[in-house]
This record gives sequence, structure tokens and C-alpha cells, in this order.
Amino acid sequence: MSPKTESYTAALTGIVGKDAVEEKPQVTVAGKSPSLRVRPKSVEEVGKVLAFANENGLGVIPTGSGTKLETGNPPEKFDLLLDLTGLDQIVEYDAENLTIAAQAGVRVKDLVELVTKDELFFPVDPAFPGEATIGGVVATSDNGPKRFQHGNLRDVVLGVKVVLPNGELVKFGGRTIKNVSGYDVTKMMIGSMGILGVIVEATFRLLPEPQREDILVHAFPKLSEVTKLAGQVLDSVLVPSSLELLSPAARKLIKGVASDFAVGEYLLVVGLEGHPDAVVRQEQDLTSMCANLAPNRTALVVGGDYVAEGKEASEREVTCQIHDHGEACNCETVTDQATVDSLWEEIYNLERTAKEAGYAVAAKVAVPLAQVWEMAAAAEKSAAANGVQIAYKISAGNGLLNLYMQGDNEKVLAVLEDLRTLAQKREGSLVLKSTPLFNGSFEVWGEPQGTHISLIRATKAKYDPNGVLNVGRYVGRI
Amino acid sequence: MIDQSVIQELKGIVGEDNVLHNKADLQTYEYDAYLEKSLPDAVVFVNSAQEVSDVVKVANRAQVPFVARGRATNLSGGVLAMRQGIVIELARMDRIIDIDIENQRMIVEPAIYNLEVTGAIDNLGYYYAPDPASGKACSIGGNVGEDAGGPHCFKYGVTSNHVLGMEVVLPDGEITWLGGKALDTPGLDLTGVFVGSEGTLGIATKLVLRILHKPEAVKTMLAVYDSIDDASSSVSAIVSHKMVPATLEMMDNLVIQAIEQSMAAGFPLDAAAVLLIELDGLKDGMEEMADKIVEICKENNVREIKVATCEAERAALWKGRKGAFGAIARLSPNYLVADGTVPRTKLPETLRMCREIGDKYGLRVANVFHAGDGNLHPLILFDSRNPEDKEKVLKAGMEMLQVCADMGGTVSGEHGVGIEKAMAMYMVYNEKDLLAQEWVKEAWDPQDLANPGKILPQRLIKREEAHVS
Amino acid sequence: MSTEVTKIEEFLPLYDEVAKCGKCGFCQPTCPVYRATGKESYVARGKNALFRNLIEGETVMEADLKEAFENCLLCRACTANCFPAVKTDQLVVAFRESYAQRFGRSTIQRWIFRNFLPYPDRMARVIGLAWLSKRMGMADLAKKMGIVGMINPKLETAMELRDEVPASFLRDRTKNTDLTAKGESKYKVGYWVSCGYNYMLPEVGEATINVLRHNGADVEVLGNNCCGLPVYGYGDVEGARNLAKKNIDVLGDLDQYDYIVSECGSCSGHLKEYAELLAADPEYSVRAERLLSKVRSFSELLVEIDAEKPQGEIQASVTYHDPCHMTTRYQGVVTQPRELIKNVPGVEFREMTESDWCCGAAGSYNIMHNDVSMKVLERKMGNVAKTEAEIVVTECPSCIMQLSLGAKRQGMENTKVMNVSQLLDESYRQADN
Repeated sequence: MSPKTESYTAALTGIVGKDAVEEKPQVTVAGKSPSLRVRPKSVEEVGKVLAFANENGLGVIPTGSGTKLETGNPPEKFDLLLDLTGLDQIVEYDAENLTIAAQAGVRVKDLVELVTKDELFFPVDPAFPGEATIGGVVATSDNGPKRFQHGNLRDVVLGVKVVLPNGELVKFGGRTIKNVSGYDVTKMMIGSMGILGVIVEATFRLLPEPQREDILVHAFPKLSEVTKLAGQVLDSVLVPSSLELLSPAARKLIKGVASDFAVGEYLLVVGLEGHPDAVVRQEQDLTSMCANLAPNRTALVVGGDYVAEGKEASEREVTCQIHDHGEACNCETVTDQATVDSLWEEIYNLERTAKEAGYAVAAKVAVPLAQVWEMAAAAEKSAAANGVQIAYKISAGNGLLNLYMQGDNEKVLAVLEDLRTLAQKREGSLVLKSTPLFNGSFEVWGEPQGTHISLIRATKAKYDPNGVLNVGRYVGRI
Repeated sequence: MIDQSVIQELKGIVGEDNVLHNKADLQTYEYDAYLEKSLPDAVVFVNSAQEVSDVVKVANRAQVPFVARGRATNLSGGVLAMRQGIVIELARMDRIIDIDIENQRMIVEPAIYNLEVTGAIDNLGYYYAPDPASGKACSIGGNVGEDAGGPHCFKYGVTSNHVLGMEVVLPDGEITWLGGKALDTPGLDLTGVFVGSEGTLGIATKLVLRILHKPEAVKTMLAVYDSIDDASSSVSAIVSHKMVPATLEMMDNLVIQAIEQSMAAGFPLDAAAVLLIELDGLKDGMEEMADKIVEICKENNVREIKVATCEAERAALWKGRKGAFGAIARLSPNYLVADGTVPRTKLPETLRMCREIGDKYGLRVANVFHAGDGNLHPLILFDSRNPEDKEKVLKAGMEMLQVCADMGGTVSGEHGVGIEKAMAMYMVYNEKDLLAQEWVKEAWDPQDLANPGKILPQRLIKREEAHVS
Repeated sequence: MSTEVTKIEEFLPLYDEVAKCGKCGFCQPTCPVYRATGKESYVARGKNALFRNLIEGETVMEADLKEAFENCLLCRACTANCFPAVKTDQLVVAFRESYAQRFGRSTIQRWIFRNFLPYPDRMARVIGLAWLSKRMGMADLAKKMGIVGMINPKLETAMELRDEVPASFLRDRTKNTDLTAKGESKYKVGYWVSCGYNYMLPEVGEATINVLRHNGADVEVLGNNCCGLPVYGYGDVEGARNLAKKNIDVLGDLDQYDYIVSECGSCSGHLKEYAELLAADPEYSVRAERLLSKVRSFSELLVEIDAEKPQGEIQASVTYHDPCHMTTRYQGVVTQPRELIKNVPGVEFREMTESDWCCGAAGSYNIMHNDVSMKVLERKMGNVAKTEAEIVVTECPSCIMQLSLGAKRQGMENTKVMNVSQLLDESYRQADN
């Protein structure tokens, strides 16, 4: 250990205490490891740590549970891992006014549990909800299937508190749904990957818990049929909360309720929320729409009447009903809310399951809604041509394709290049979510555009003039 | 005054007839729907992003500030040329560029009227959700500038939730695209920060809008109350019964009086408050929810509750609400609207305090507000021909905003800060917060030419400093 | 031009009116001129601001302001869409009057207003001469005379538009024809001769008289002068009052008529406003009120007397253009013409978007501001085209002429423009044959 590092350790220990500083932590980001992990327990400590880093020109990467630490270019400098899991307080929970302010280190799961007790709903469902923290979710703007109905982070975060690289704590936005007081810096902070400041607190909008939540699952032999179905659903009055499609390979990774039927086919998973009558009506409409396009396939409707008076939410009676040829058959099985939840869990954790199954590379394609199907077809074609194995999940209501790949590096790269070219042609983008293999040979965020990138650069220069936070990891290596 | 050579250059870009610089013309560009005036040096009619860019480049070379203007219906002084210079008039850029149903997007030019966006896709079964009450008269570009809201925003969100990308002429004249039809463009959410920036970060010349499929069913109800508190309690009770109506709009007695004089919408003249509730979505379950709402209102001492039985009845109820601001003119020649927002449950208390402030200054205060999201609009009545009145009104307005800030709310919900509320920014932000906001302006517009003197109190150009015609 | 700030005293009575403008901008989307130009000084809000500045001494009466107040169709769409209903048309007329008083009206214009319009014989002679010159291939000379345009600019446009020249004026044509009711005589109707029909479209007047007779009316062709609306529009309010009084005198004992009817929306609309125009005159205001009780627009009268349903079939799609002076902004005769049209067997009625938007003719407007007028017309013709109707029906000679011009310009050769009375007349005739 260099004398310099030792002096840093001493100074930082002075700020956060001995037990909150770890030397040579077992963390690597694109091959680089920091000298220190610092885990402040208060916002003030975060301020002091950052001010110190700023004065000494240290490279800092903030993190929560580290579920998205891999996303981004290799860091230019990486001295401190700023672990925010110590900021784990709910700051202000106003159930009546449907808002909650929480510190960055609060886990999504814990927040959901808290508000569920009051029959409220947290309208964000990111990947790995068991570990993901509020700060990480906001900084990466990571959200899940139900985003289709409830919007993305930019639609539900009302305000943030941020510690700037100079150590100052500032707030943007507030706690009201409508707020146009000043520049909407909150939006700019969401998804900024921590390049402008460290998000230490966020205020979210909450919603009343839906009266009923069901899932409809339907098998499709061909991608073209699901494409048609999605078009029909989107151009209808139906309002599903999510519209996800798992490719046959991705479907194989899912365990639980949907695991043992329609093997080898595409699996459409539709989330339905709202008034029970509206949910049931949509189930009927959707099963018949599906049956028209893919006859002789089975559908699964997981759901049922919501909690009876005086019972706990977990005691909801859920039936799992199998439909044949669009008609309900007599094979109902009673299951429970956990079944509904667990299917979502499986989907939220798909990226990790895929990785464990050998799909080492994850990428996200975002295109205008209707173009996502063309992207999926192109992915299948390019993968087959290059001998790469892929599994994918489509969020049809959001125009997103989450792609998991395994194969030779060069071949995988070829597929990625193909898809990025096409995505850009369709006014979209391809972002690499995990980058263990390429060492910077493939632009994580895509080629930066001229003027746009200069605005980001100018913004970065204002907020982080000394280049402390996540340096080199962002778009255009900013 | 700007140099004659600049005028000549501008004429070279857009043509002789499209540059106005005589006083009579300029005096029609010195105001918006706020109370102040500031006379620009020239008005330039532009017809394309390229022309906007060329004009902005001239402004850069001559170091002359510029302000983009559309329909100028904003209520906070957003398009006043506080440091004179060039008004870039976008009124003729009102075309629809693309209607893309399969991707649920539409691309329009900035000066298109808000209502005409929906008008263009209505027959295809789609609509554009943000619905400011001035939708008939205000432009989408202006909505973007102010991040406009509207009654339906309680359920569907405000302008920034529905504008996904844009072509922008930056303050140095560069033309660039931010965001687009797809979600999740890599890089900072510059679209997000541009929306609501009141023309201080550049001029949007094309906008990518999210359009939504029209709901299958709509149910509109009018609940009449003898007390504002009962109406407020009903709102909270509805939300706590797990319902998210599309709108929850409240109007107080003075507003009811004005509306009835102006357009006879059928609101009872002696009611203390009326609540306009609208449910939308699938028809299934809607009756039951409506029944539940009626029950809740009854529990909260509603005097009567009518459910619109046809589209004509629904339109009549909405006509009243949408015309509320304008109808105030029946009571008094002018009004100032304090556009504060508070956590919903603080509404009754806030309203009471606003009334007290009005009483203190001897000013009548009418109220129409978005009860669902706690966005209140106390309308302080006065006659701008009386200078003392005006001064009192401005003071009362600031005190009301202070009340909103003290209640945990904010000073502008949907009308923007402009010059009106710039000083009120100190009520919700400290100097460090404001400095961090100013960095945005500095990054985008280091020369401070795009609509200078707005939003940030540290940059406010006060009237006494401004060159007044 | 004086640089000294002088408040315009004569505007003070309108101060309360103009102070009501809260600058909300709701007048913009409905103002045909603003929609065509996007210019703030052309819309009510801009005019209100300038007018208020004049009152408050923030600006002076000068030539630059004239353009703003000239650019108004007086269609009242702004007032109809204004919450406090600011009567911007009154401000416009007041400005025009005041401006003319200060800077003078061209002597020739004044001479015409005072020496021609109140004298039908002189009018007929001048216009007859103009037609004659056109008939002799001297169209240019007619135009150069300029006098016709001065009297009523619409007439001049019509001259340019019309290929065949009417053989004679309506007044002459009706001199030796039977004007008594066909069948049982039920009403005595005074037929008001509008300049537009008299000099330009006499065949419309003939159709109108036929329809009236068909419905039991004994028709008397009135010896009226110009109703005075064009003069009023120029801001010569005094001249307009004089014409009104003169007309009231000419009509004499009103009790001799059950109704006074005009198939020109501008005439019928303006006649109904005589009472307001003459409100300050104790004698004439009473007589104007009496006149008001007798005056009907053509469609209004026919529906009121429950006109005989026409039997002759006309296989055509028809749309209706509301002349400004027929809309709720003026006399509010809106449902009646539609009802009459729909009653014609074989007609398929198609409502057009913005049917009550001004067509851009508007008094002197289409001459003085031809380019803007043509843009206003383009919008109108676009809406007509969208209906794909074969016939556009209306109830105003200037609208007929303007719409015909529009059809010609847009290459809509197959679109016929006619008056309501012509459509009914045709159907009656077919049934008779």
C-alpha cells in the first residue's frame, strides 16, 4: 500500500469511522479494483467523503448493492467505491398524500413491503428487487415490465437530493406531483449513472394498490403471431399493466407456475391490474385474441378475487386456470398470491438466471414500439448466422428488447454490431449492460452524437469540474 | 436598441415582410397573459428550424438576446423580452410532421394548438393526454416551455411525461435532436431538462409526442357542496378507496358565479364548491366505481351529485371548468393566479389561509384547482388600471406562494416561473440548490442570450431594471 | 405625425370594454386573419392592447397603427370566443372613424359615401356604366374608374369574376313582372333590394321573389338605398346613421308590411342593428325598433311561416356556409337555412368544419388585403373540399361571389355556389314542370 493511499485511509477513517473503510475490497469494474471501499452512514458523511475526493482528485464510483455496477465503459480512474447501503432510512412517508422519500441505500423490496402494509403500490419494478436500492434504480433508471402502465422513473420520481462532487448537498424537485419550479434537474439526474452527483435521497409518487392483479400467460409457436397480437392489443382499449414476451430459450430459464407447459414456444406474459371486472374482461378478450392467432395453444390465467374482508393480502384466493382453445376447461387449481409474485420474480431476475446459464453478455435494445419485433427477428437471424445462442425478453409496450447472448466473443460482437446498426436505422439504440468480455472494443452506449454529446460534456464540466465521479464510464467516455 | 444592420441581416434571412420593427407592431409583442410588459426591438417570423438557427446565429454574432414566442398565453411572463432584443415568432410553424399510430407517436411543430393535436388523431381513436384548460389557445411549444399540466394530469402526468424527444435550435444556433420516438435514449435526459426550461435553453422546432389510445368509457360527475372542506374530504376519501380518477377538479363559489355569468354551465350559484370528477378506462367496473364515489360523496355531506348521461352533458360540465379562468373577467377586469401546489391533504388549510390573505388586502380571491394533485389556483381579482391594486395583488400572490411552500408544496405547479415567481424560488430552494440549477443554464447557454432574466432569482431582470417602453 | 403623447379622448367610453381583455389569447385560434398570418396586431388581443395604449397615452394615433385596425373582417369570431366578450369590432370601427377624422378620409371616398350610396339612381348609372364598359371589352377601364370599388369593393370583384354580364339590374327586371302571391295571398312582404343582388346577381333576387310568391306572399320591391353596412365598416359611423335614417324614411309606414325580408345576410343583419346604431336618436330609434320587429332574413322567414316543402328532386350533395352576419355572432339564423336545405328531396346535406368561419370577403377586405383574404378563403375552400359537396349554399351575395372565386382558384369547377332561395326555387320549378 502506497503512502498516499494510507493517508487517504486515515483521512476517510476520520470521516466515517474505522469500520466503514475497507482497504482493497474484492470488487472489480471492467478489470479495475478500487483501493478503498467507504460506507458512510449519513448524508453529511457522503458530503465530506466527496469533498475529500474532490480536493484530492480521487476517482469515485458510487454503488448500492452493485447489481448494475457492470454497466458502463471501463473507469478512467477508480480509487473509491462509495457504498451507499448505509443510507438506509425512510425519510418521509406520507401515505395519505401518496408520496415516500427514501435514502439511496433503501432496498426496493423493503420499500415495497412498507407501503404494501398500507395497501399502497410502489410503481417501480426494477431487476433484482431483492437487492436493488433506491439510489441505484434512480441513477440507472432501471425499471421493469409494469413500466408499461405506470411509466418510467422519470414519471414517478418527484424530487431528489444529491451530494455534488464539491460536497454540497442540494435538492431538486419536491414532493408534489406537479412541480415546474425551476429547471427539472431531477429528470437529468435520473439515469445519469452518477456522473453529476451522488443521489442520496429520492421522493416517489405512490399509487393505491390495484384492487386485483392477475397474470395471463399464453404460448405462441411463432414470433409473427405475437407481433400481430401486440399490435392488436396496443391499438385497442385494453390497458394491460405489462406485455412481456419470452423467447423459447428465455422461457426455459423460468421456473414455477409457467415452467411445464408449452415447452419450446414463445411465452407471452400479460400483467393485468385494476377493478376486478375490468381485469376479468381483459382476460376474456385477450384469451380469445390469442386463440384467434395461435389456435390449439393453452393459456394460463393466474388470478382471482381479491382479498376477502378481514383477511390479509397474502390470503387472497388465487386460481390458476387453464384455457384450451380460448375456453376455460375444468382444471382449476387453487394457488396463492405467492404464485403471481413468484412469476414476476422470475422475470425480474432473468438477467441473472441467464448469466448463470451461460449467457454472459446482456444488451438492451430500445426502439419505437412497433419496431421491437423486427429487432427480435433480426436478432434471431443474426444469432443463427453467427452461431451465437440467444435468449431474450421483449417489453412490447415499451419497445424494449433485453437480449442475453453466449458464444465466441467475435461472433457475439458481430451480432451486436448488426443489431446496433439496425436499431439506429430505426431511430433507436443498443446499450451493452454487462461488459466482461470486450475491454472497450465495443462502445457500451453507442457512438456519441455531435451536439448532444457536447451538451452532456458541458453539463458534466459544470457539476463535476475536477472529474471525480464515474469518470470515463458514460456516453462518449465522459 | 439593436443596430439597423442586424435588422437588415434578419430581413435577409426571412424576407422583408417577416421582420417587424415599428413601434405599433412591437407593442403587440410586449406582453403575454401575465401583468408585465417589455418592448422587444424586433419580431422575426420564422418558418423552419433552419431559419430559427440562422436568426439565432445573427443574435449570437450581434450579442443580442432572443425570446421564442408561440401563442403567448402563459401566465408568468415567460415570453417577455426582458432585455429587449429579438422575438422569434413561431406562430407559422404549426404543422403536423408525422402521425405514427403503430408507434403511438406524433411529431409536430411547436406552434400547433394543443387541442388540434388531439383533433388530428381523434378519428383514429387516439389523443394527446396533457390538457391545459387553455388547450384551445395555447401551443404545444409553449406547453413544453412551461411543462404545462391540466386536469387529466392527476392520472396521466404532465407535459414532460408525454414529450419524448425534440429537434432543438440551441442558444448558439446549432440544430440538434434530443430523445426521439424510442424510450431510453442513451445519455442524460436532456429532453427532460429542456421541458419546462421556458425557452432559456434554446428553441424547440419539432416535438415528438406520446399519443394514447382513447379510453373505452368515460364517466363525468359533478358533486355540489355547501363547504369546501367537505369537498376536500371527498377527494381524499376517493383516493383512499383505491380509485385513481382521471380528474378531480374543484371550483369555489366565486368561480361558479363567474362561470355561470359567462357560459351557464349549470353549476348551482349558491354552492360553496363543486367537484368535477371524471373516471375513464374500461367500461367494466366503472358503474360500480361511480356508485362508490357517489356513496363517498354522500358520506361527506354532498348536497347533490349529478352524473353526466351523455357526451353533451359531459361537454357542458367541462366547458365550465375549461372556461373558468376566462370567466373571471366577468367579475373583474384582471386577475393574478398563484399557481402553488401542496400535498393534497393540506388543501383546505391552504385555501383558508389564501382567503385570509385576500381579506387582509381587501382583494377578492376566487379559486379553481386540481384537487387530486394539490395544485391550487387562487385567482386574485383586481383592475390593472389601478396601480395600487396591482402592487397589493403582487404582494398577496407572493404571500400565498409562501403558504404553499410552508405546507411542503411548491411555488409553481404548471404555469412556470417566468419573471412572476422567480423571487418565490427562494421559498423552496436555497442558494446552493439554485446555483446547481444555474449550471444547467450555463452549460447550454454560456452567453445568456436565450430568454435571459427568467426562472432563477439570481438572474431575474426586474421591471425597474428593464427598459420600459 | 405628432410625437407628443395625446390620449385619444373619444375612446374613453370604450375604456371599460377594452380593460376587460385579460390577454388570455382565446381570440387567436378563431380569428381567420390571425390564422392566415400569425400576426398579433391582426388579432383582437393585439388590437385591444393598441387601443388601450391609445387611451392610456402609451402610443399615438399614427399611420403604423392603421394597418392593425384595417386588418379585421368584423366577423366577431373573437367576441364569440372571448370570455368577457370584448367587443373588438366596436373598437375597430371606433378607430377607423377616429383615424379618418384626424387624418381625413380621401375626399373621393367621402364624396361617394355622401353623394352616391344614398342615391340609388346615381349608383345604378355609375355601375351600369362600368358594366357597359366591361361588356364592350373595356374591363380595364371599368376597373380604372375605381369608383365602383369605392362604392362597394365587392361589386368590383364581382365584375372581374363574372364572365357574362347581367343584362339588367334586379330593380329594372322586377318593374314589369307579376309580384303577387301564387294562390292564396297570405302576407304582404317588403323585399329589400341588396346592392349585391341588384347590381351583380339579379337572378338570385328573382329566385327569392319566386319562392316568396310561391308561399303566399304579395311582394313589394322596396325603394331602399344601400343598408349602410360598408360605410359603417369604413368607420364612417355618421354616414351609416344617415343612410339608416334615410332608409327608415323611404320605407315609410311599416304597418303596411307583415315582413321585410332580405336574402342578403349582411343587409338583414345590419337592418336589425339600426336600433343600436340610432340609439341616441329619440325619434329614429323608436322607428328602428319597429323595423327590427319586421325584418327577417330569408331563411328565417321561410321557416317562421312554415314554407311549403319543395317537391322537385335535386340529386346533389350540399353543404352550407354561414355568412358572418347570419351566425350567432350577429342575427343568429343558423338552423333555419339547414332545415330548408335538408327539406329539398334528393339533397344529401353535409356539414362542413368551421362552417361559420368568415370566407374572407368582408367588405373592403378582399380588395384592400387581397393576399390575406385569399389565405382566409383557402382555409374555407379546404373545408368545403373536405365535404366533397357538389353545391355550396349560403345566404349572402358577397359570400357567393367570394366562394365562387375560391372554387375557381382551387380548380373546383364542378362546385356550384348558390343562395338558399335559388335551391328552393329550383326545386319548386322542377315540381311545377
